[in-house]
Amino acid sequence: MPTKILSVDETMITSSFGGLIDDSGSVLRFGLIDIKPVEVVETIKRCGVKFQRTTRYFESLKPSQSYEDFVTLINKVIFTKIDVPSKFEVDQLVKLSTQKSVMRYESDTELKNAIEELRNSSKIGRPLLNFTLFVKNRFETKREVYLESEAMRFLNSNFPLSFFNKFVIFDNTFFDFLKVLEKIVRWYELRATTSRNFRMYSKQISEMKKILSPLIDQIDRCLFDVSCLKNYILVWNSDSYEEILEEPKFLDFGKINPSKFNELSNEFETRLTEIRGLLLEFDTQIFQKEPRLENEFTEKMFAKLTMMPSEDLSL
Amino acid sequence: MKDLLSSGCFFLDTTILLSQILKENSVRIEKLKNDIKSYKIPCYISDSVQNECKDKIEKALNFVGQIVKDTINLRLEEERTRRRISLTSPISSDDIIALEKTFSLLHGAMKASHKLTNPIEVIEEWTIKYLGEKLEQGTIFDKNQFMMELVKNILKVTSSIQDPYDELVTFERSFARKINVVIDLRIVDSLLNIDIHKPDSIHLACAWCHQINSNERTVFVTFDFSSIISKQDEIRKLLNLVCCDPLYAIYHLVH
Repeated sequence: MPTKILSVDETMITSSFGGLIDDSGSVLRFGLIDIKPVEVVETIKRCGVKFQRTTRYFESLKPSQSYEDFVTLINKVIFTKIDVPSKFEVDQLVKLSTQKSVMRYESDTELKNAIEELRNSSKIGRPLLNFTLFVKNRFETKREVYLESEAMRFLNSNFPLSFFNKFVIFDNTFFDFLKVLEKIVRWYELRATTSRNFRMYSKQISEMKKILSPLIDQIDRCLFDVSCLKNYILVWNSDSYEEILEEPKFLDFGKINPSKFNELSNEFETRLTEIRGLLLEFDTQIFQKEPRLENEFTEKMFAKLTMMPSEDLSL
Repeated sequence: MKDLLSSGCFFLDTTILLSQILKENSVRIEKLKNDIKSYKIPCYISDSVQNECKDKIEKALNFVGQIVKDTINLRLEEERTRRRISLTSPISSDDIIALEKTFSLLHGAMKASHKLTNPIEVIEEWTIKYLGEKLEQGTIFDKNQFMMELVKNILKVTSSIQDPYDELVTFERSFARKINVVIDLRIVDSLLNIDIHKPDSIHLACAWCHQINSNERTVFVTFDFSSIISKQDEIRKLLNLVCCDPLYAIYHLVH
């Protein structure tokens, strides 16, 4: 029997948010694509007068899967793909990585509260837009933290800064993706809610899903590539399972296989370019952003450096 | 003037692309863009220019990263250890004095290597201005927080550059299109004889080969005065290829 997404299956949604950067694409697919609108018409009697009450909600199209099973599956694919040092066992890595994600989710009370609010608002007007805004706002509040972790990794490594810059570009792209998603969902849900009947309502939702699907597919693939690359560097720079969980103190480029690293990096970059191209098709203005005044001096410094002859940029 | 224009096109140099992406030389770039739009001039980016543009951005990013991490960071640590000051105590004007010595040593090293420009000067101004402003504002932060802020600022700026880069180069949504030109290596060699080295010689060879193959006047547009514009007469004599600043590009297509 189908289940109501924003109630029974919330485990899946909330848990996936716990590892936002790892599987947000999946949670968006779950909340926006794998759904079916349902209309229930009830006859109720008040003060001796009969009324018809119509309720609309979304059901999940797929049988629910526990968060742990879902993350285990993703981790299995990642750790099989990246080649791990012989001192580690793939199964153990999958188990530990999954445990970490589950624990992270379990301790995320802010997220749980947000989901609770989301569930309560699901009966009012625009649950899909609320859901999308929730993901977007949540990501926006975490951006500075993500930026800080990339800066920290750079300072504790001998990798070039350009390597960490790619992950920041990915985060920016992910935010652009959420902005595009918000626009699409806002437009279609508005059209759906102003439809004359349920058939038209369903049609609008179905149109929206058709448009969102390739976007979410693409961001999912890109998220997978990010996870592969980050995990590859993590396992090859760790001496024990404990170190993997806590993150190594120093990331040494010398400890990784350059050809595997290049392969994973190139896959990630190609995918990133593809998703950026796709976003541009949805919104031709997406890359035109307001300049930030607080960055002006750094911008000028960087522009001057870039315009200098390359051979001068060495000590 | 429209009637007087012969069919022709522009080949853009890396300096033009970087100026558009980094919002430099805006008056000249706007004039070029207006001319391209008004007179519908095809505008091309060769593979070699695209690669150089990407390389230059990456190189500048890694250079500033290296200076921040390996020079500023280590020097502040060393100096504090020498003065027996805790690494976690707040940044003070003593740290600026420590950096003064560091940058002075780096300037000396740059001078000794006879480089045309001094990138250290640019990073020095940026670092000390940033630190000075924070101290003036009374912000209390330690060395690690200072390092973190510097790197975060750089990453914010450099990651945002991807947007104009992709718009102009990767997805060709601006005023130029990418073009794949098979070059004649003999041209590259002949340019070497007039002291034009790679990758500039490759960019010019692309423009020349296009001019020959398409039989349309091709103007190579650049801001590179020292390597290209200063030799525009020699290049013209050798290849019959016009090289100029964007201000003048359109006038080279008049009959």
